[in-house]
This record gives sequence, structure tokens and C-alpha cells, in this order.
Amino acid sequence: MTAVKHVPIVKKHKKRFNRHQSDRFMCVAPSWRKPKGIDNRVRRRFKGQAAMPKIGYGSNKKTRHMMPSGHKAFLVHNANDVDLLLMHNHTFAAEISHAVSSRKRIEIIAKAKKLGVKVTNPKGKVTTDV
Amino acid sequence: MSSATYPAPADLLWEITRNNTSFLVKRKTAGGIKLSRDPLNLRNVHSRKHSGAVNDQAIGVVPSDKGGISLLTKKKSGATITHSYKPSKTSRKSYLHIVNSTAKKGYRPDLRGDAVARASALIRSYRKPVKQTPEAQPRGAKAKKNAAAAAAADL
Repeated sequence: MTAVKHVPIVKKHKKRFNRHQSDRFMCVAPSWRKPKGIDNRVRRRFKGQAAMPKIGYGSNKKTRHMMPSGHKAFLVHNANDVDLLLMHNHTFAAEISHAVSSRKRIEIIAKAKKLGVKVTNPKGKVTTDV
Repeated sequence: MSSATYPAPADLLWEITRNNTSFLVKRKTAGGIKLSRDPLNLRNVHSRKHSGAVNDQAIGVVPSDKGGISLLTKKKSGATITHSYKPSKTSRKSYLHIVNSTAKKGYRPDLRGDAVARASALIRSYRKPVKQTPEAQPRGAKAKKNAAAAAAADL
């Protein structure tokens, strides 16, 4: 159930890249758009300006998509989907899809426990006390 | 396959089925992972080597009805043969059976480790947990205070 040993996960840029001047104008949404203007100081990477996203910020291939536990998430909709992770319980964790009822969640969690598969959201919709 | 007398070459079958087949399970997370529901696939990965539907010879290890494991192998005609092993005291016996009837005979020796690993994982899943998972303790000052208040309300 515990994940295999891996190199430490390093996130090179934890903050979101917000679009230039989205803090100044309501009509400029924060979703990233690359500045294209001829005089734009962000595009020209002037000192003190916002950083632009680039490929160098990408995560190490070995830790990409990895959760802090060292697993990768695999979306499951039913107990049969958990069976797929039997041989991958050190690299993948089951994530129960949002539309699954609490009755079926209990089945999925029981199956996962049997197979030694980690479930990332075992508490969702499943309450023991009223 | 409809024509058992002329089974299509495995490479052709793989090219046809690699992008879409009923066994294939795709997910967008984790960089677009592809798994396989094929019972003759030991690691559940969608690949040429592990695909049971495509290869002429393939091994599968699945749980059997009696709480043991079943070994599936493929005949030349494409039919699947099932050997069921009852749950034994020593799991090594099951591995020995599996290896002796497949890899030792030159039947997919490349899958020896995978077959034993899958049998081992299945047998482990039958075992009762040695230790019960401890009940979650409240963490943090606020949660502890709430738990204490709830306990006091019960009294």
C-alpha cells in the first residue's frame, strides 16, 4: 500500500501564473495569456515583473502527476475498476468518481482494502454515525 | 476470432486492437494511463507483451470460486484452459504449480515473474488483516476540543 521509494517531489513554482494586468482590470481574467505587445515589460522579462510560464518549470518526469504520498490517482467508478490496480497498488491509488453513491462507495472501499489499494477519498459520502 | 483455422498474426491483431478494444481502460489522469481488463493479462497493463487476446500464448491468474486461484493458459486454437488450485497452506506450492506448468515447459518464460507476482498478490488479498486499522484520532486543538465536547454531551 505504501508507495515505492522515489526521488523527492519538487514543485518549482507553486503559485499560479496570472495574466499580466489581471490585478488591475476586472475585464482581464487571471487565466494565463502570453503578452504579445511590442513594448510589453513582462514579455521582455524586465526586472521585478511577473514570471512567465515556461517548460523549465515542469516537474521531474519521475515525480510527475504524483501525489505527496507518492501514488498517482486512478479514477474508479465501481469495484471492478479496483481490480485493475491489484498489481499497481504501490504506484497507483484509487480515486472514487464523484457521482458514485454511498452504497457503492462502501463496496469499493472494502474491495480496495482487500487488495491493499489506497483510496484517496474514502470519507466522501460515507459516514458511520448519523 | 471467427476463423480458428486461420488465426490472424499477433502483430496484426495488436495493430488493430491497440487503440480500441473492450478490455482497454483509459484515464486522462496520470499522463493518460492505459490499463487492461483482459483476464489473460497478468499485470493489467495494455501492452503487446501482456495482452492476452493478441498473443498466441498467454497466461492468466484469476481468483477461483473456492477461494483459491485459477491458472488460465491459451491453446493454439485460441481456447482458454483453466487449472484451479485449492487454497493450500503454503502459497509456494501454488507458485511451483504455475511455474512448472508454464515457464518451465517453455510456455511464455518471460511471464514467469509476473505470474508468480500476481498469484502472490491474490493469495495475500485472501488473508485476514493481521492488525486492525486504528481508529482515527482527532488532530489539532480545534478537533480535540470538538471531540471532548461531543464526549461530554454523550455523558
